[in-house]
This record gives sequence, structure tokens and C-alpha cells, in this order.
Amino acid sequence: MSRRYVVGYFEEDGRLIRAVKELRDQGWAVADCFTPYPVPGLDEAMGLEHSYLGWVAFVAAMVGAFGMLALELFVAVYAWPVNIGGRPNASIPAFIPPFFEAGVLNCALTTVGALLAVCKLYPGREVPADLPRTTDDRFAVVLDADQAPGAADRITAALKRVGALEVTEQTPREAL
Amino acid sequence: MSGPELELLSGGQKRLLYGLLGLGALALGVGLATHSGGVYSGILLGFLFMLELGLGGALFLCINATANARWHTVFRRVPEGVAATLPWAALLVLLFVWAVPHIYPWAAPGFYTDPSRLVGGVLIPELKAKEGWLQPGWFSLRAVLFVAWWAGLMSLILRLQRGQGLGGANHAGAIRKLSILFCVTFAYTFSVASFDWLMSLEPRFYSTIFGVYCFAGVMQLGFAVVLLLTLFLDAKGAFKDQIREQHRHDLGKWLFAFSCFWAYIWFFQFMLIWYADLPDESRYYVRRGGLRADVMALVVLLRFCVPFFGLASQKVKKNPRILAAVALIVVAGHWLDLALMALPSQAGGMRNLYALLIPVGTGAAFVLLFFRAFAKKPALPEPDAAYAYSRRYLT
Repeated sequence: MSRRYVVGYFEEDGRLIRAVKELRDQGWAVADCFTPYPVPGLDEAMGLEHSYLGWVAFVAAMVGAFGMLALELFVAVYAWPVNIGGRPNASIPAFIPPFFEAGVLNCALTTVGALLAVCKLYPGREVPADLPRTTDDRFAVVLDADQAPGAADRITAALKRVGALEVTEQTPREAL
Repeated sequence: MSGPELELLSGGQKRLLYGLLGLGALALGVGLATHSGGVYSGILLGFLFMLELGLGGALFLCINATANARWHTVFRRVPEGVAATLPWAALLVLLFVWAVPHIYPWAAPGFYTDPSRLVGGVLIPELKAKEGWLQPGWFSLRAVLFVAWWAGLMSLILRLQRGQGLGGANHAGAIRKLSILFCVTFAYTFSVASFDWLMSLEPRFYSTIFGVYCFAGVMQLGFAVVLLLTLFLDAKGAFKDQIREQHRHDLGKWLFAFSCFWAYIWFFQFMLIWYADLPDESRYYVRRGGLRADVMALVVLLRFCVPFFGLASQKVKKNPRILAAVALIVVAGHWLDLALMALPSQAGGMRNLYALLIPVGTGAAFVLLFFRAFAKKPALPEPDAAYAYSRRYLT
């Protein structure tokens, strides 16, 4: 059986943050928030843990950079040594720009890829829930409707109290 | 005045600073009295170190004003106090100008007519074009004009800044226009000044990126100094706990970013000269020991490796102790960087105690002047409309 969710819509990001704080203070677990753009301070209000994406980026950058350095050394020293102005074959200063560029490139691509994978975003993916205008000008907070007996009504009342424009109940295709 | 006056510096700290100032003055006196060759490059470094500390604060203010930034308003008195030391550093230019004939090889009489620099009775082309530019009189006039322009324009901006928000006064537009003027003119004048003051120590050496390199150093130094003084004053309670994690994080990000920028410029000056291997250019690095140079490696370690790896994580950029330690290392790295640019061509080379003691003295003078300027005004610019924003902004 799919889960039921209560969705509260807000007009401003500030109101959403206040609502999330208030709901969590009252002991309700916030499942997720949907906003048209990244809202600073929302992660803190939701109590999200620090993302590990930074480590993914770091490792990817190191792999890209040192992979390129290994390629450069392999090509210039072992596979096809060429005498360029009498410089040593393993001329590190000349290898640094590609080392840096490959680090940046691999870091960027892998981070975006990891982000998409973690968020399960891939071509042909179905929209899990229909939350109108949250890509436009509405800010939605989503809470599990069955987290306690009779939670749906109490959450709805709480959302109305903290200034939600509209509160709906939804049963999305998959858990949020 | 209401309430007990905040004691910004403890008695011991004041004594230490006056002691260091006295030590620098003593070193200068002893050096001049004994006609020691090293004292003149000490004067150059002492002048440059103090001037660049002030310029760092001035650039911090002007860049933020140019961008209409308000995030720094809570601690804006810090860069203002730093920039307020500029007129004093500018006075040192008189000592520097007096020392020019002792510092620069081209200022010695007969430099441009020395047979070793003539080919077929004509000055070698590498120096021909520089002959008119590098003359003591014109050089000194430029130096005086540059520092007078920086100090004068900055004083004007600071005067407007001081009245900002008082009695409904709003000078934001004028401050912004003057700040843009400062930034644009600074780019040109500081490039020429670094060609003059540091690059011409080795008259045949030339590097077009040299001005940018010096600028990158000053920018990084400015962020480090503002960060260091802000954290120090905050620990003393000067800002009444208005400095939040957000401010520390953003200052840390600035320091991190300009450490990368500095390293980028450092590397590209080095790499292109290494690659082209033209005698006049590569001699600069050969003199500093080539690839295995320990001092050069130490400069890169202090100015890039420590801030880059030290400040990479978000958590660390919010930690005042680590931030302060990294900022202090960057300031020391800046001094070492200046010493490495100036000293190898000078009498005594890198083993020159005057080049350490005189900048320490002028650095202590900078700190004392900063606290004098900072104590004159309320620590928080509360009347400024941007203050409320700065107290609670989020990124």
C-alpha cells in the first residue's frame, strides 16, 4: 500500500522555513520540501545532515588529476619519449595544467552524476508526486500522514495555523 | 560614555607591540649607523609590508562597495581601520625614496654606460627601453604620486564611510563611485609600482604577469589580515557577539579563493618562464634556486598548501581557531614572499636580519595604528542601513 502524505503550500521561502521549524518543534517528522530554487537555511531548518557529496567531489578530483598525471608520464616517458628543448621527459611543470584541468573536469562530471544518481533522476523517470506550482512560485512541505494515529488532521490543522495557503492530502506513486 | 570602555589590547600585548616597533627602529638605526648593506633592502621590505597590509584593507572595502555588498557591514570597521593606516605607511615612502640609490642597481651612477652593458658602444636593447623609465628622479616621483593617490583617495572614502547613516546621511552612491575609481586606478598604478619597486631590482628581468602576481599577494594578505583582526576583536567581545558563523565562513571562503588565485598566478609566472627558458627571465628563478629551492617551496607551502588543504572543509572555515592560525601563516608567507622577491639580488642575499626586523617593526606599527583607528569609532556601524542586513543574512 502506498503512503499517504499531507502537503502544505506556502507563498514565500521565509514562511516555509518558519513552518518547517514550527512543525518539527511540535514533534512532526518532515519528509521533504519542494521549492522552485535552493532556499538557504532550509537544510538547517529541516535538520538535514551534512551532505557527503563533498567527499565524492574530492575523490573524483584526485582520481581525475592523478589519472591524467599517470597518462602524461606514461606517454611522455615510456610510450613516446620526445626530446623537447633538452628538457627531461618527466617535466612536471608542463604536466600541471592538464593535471589541474582533468581534476576539475572529473570532479564536476562525477559530482553531477552522483547527484543525479542519489536523487534517482534518469531519463524516462516518472514524476513521483504531482505538486503543482512547486517549480514556479509555490513552496511545499510534505509530511507523512500516518506517522501517528490521527496525524493527518492534526498536521493539517498545524499547517493552517502556521499560514499555509492550501493543504492537500496525496498518495504519490512512491514514497517521498 | 556609558559603560566601561572596552580594553582592546591588554597591557602585555601593547608592550609587546611597542617592543617590536622599538626593535625595528633599533635595527634601522644600527643599520644606518654602521652603513650595513642589508639595511636598505630592509627599508624596502618594511615599507612594502606595511603599505600592502593597509592596501589589503582598502581593496577589501572597495571591492565590496563596488559590488554593493552588505554582508561585511557588521565587521566593516575592521577593513576601515586597516585602510586608515595607509597615510602612515605612505609617509614611509620618503624613507624609501631616500634609500633608492642604495637599493636599485640601475640607480648607481654609470649603470647605463658600463662597458659590460654596451655592445658596439650602444646600450643593449634589454636595457635601452628601460633607461628613460628607471631614473632615480622619475622613479621617486612615481612612488610618491602612487602612495599619495592611494592614501588620499582612501581617506576620502573613509571620511564618507564614517558619516554613513548618521543623521539620515546616505553616501552609498558616492562611496561606490570612489571605490570603483580606486579599483580601476589601483590596477594600473599597482602594476607599475610592482614593476618599479620589486621587478626592477633585477633590471634585465621582465615578466608581464608580475604586477598581477603582486596584486594576488596583496588581495590574499588583505583577507587574511581582516579575518585575523576580526576574530581577535570578536574574541575580545568588541562586536557584542554579532559576528556569526556565516561571517566566518564567508571570510574563510574569500581566503581560500584567493589562496587558489595566488597559486594560479604563481604557477603561471613560473611555468611560462621555465617553458620558454629565455636567459633574462629564467635567471630570476635560477637565482632563487630553480626547482629545488627550499625557500620558494616554503612560500608555496605557506601561501597555498596550508590555506588550501587547511580550509577545504566547510566545518574548518567556521572554526575561529583554525581560521586565525591559517590567516597568521598566510601573513608570514606574504612577508617571506616579499623577501624572496627582493633579497636574492641584494647585498647579503637571503641572510639579512634587517629584512626581518624592520618589517616586524612596521608590522607592529600597523597593528598599533589599526587599534588606534578602530577605537576611535563605535565597533558596530549601527546607523548604517546595511547593518541590519549584515546581522542576519544567509547564503
